[in-house]
Amino acid sequence: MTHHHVPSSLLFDYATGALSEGPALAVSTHLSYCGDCLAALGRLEEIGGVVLQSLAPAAVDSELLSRTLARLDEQGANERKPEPEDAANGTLPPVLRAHLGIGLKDARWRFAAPHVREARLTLGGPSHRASLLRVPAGRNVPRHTHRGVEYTVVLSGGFIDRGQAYRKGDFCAADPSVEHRPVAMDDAECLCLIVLDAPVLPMGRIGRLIAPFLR
Amino acid sequence: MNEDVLCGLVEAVARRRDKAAFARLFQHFAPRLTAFMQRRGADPAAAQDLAQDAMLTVWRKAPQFDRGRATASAWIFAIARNRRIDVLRRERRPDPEILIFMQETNAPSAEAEMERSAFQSRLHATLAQVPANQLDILKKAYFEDLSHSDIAQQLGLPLGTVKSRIRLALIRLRGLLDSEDTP
Repeated sequence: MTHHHVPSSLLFDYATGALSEGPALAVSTHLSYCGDCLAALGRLEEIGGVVLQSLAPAAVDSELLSRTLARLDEQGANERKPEPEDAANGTLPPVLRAHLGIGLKDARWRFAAPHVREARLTLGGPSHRASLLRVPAGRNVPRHTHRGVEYTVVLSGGFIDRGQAYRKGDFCAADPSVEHRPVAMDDAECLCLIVLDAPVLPMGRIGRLIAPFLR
Repeated sequence: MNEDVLCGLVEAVARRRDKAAFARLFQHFAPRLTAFMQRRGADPAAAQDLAQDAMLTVWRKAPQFDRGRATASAWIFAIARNRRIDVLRRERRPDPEILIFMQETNAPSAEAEMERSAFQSRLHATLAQVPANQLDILKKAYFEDLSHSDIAQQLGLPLGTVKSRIRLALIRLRGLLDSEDTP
């Protein structure tokens, strides 16, 4: 059961299609865990359906239907198929697996900060950076603030940030007004999705030391 | 055509690969999808191509349609939105069914269980009661896929005003907002 949800204005921008790929990936990852937000998205898409129905029909070529019918047989049908079982990636929601390319086990984990490892995800465009972050139990991400917005979704384990506990599926947004030092919970490694629209701004002595690695 | 009829047509396409049912769906939706794509900036020829592309996706994905989760028009709206993003922005958006993953730990809310087509007919009725200054912004968001901040910029309104108008419209459309806004 998730406790920290996608802000409603962000979910709305996701529903209308306005959100760019990085934040949309963070939102869809949270939706993979949260039935309440998925239901809220469903209601926003129902409004989309009403709006679509309310549009005055545009003129279309008279042969567009026959041209489309002629192409149906080459289309085939996407049957409902279960996701292939993949033990190593079982903790990852399907929306993320496509962006990881190779498996979680073989992902290229690189140094991000002391004890903290990062694996980059591929996005279509350059406007955002998406990565998986691994923080061992009880360890923290160095204190930092943000030049833009940072979206975090917990995939396994959990962390404490500014007195709040974030567990599997929880969504956290932090902007330049937030300076924080999230700490992984004591019982397990914390695996998160992080989406950034600008590099974070490390604070303090350790922060300044590792700043070159965070670009 | 009402939603029950439209849902039945999508199900006929799913179960029997029924081309006559598809043709009826096409005649209803293709002109609306073309208008939708034009409102989002496509020229008439490109808008028709996108509408055709969306309808071919409807044909392929029909087996995944589930009237317990969405009405036909909401489902087709989501397909058209995603196809447009795929084609014009070359970015991927997840198919709705891929989002089903680990939600079972959440207790389904009463609203989630409410019958879709009943919900939609209430929406139709309520939409007429939304004040014009809220409805205009709502339609702008859905038709032109502008974000809150894009709309604020375009209309020269403070972001807070745009947020609150959308919020009020959605509340009017019946308590759609579950989570509180965070900054």
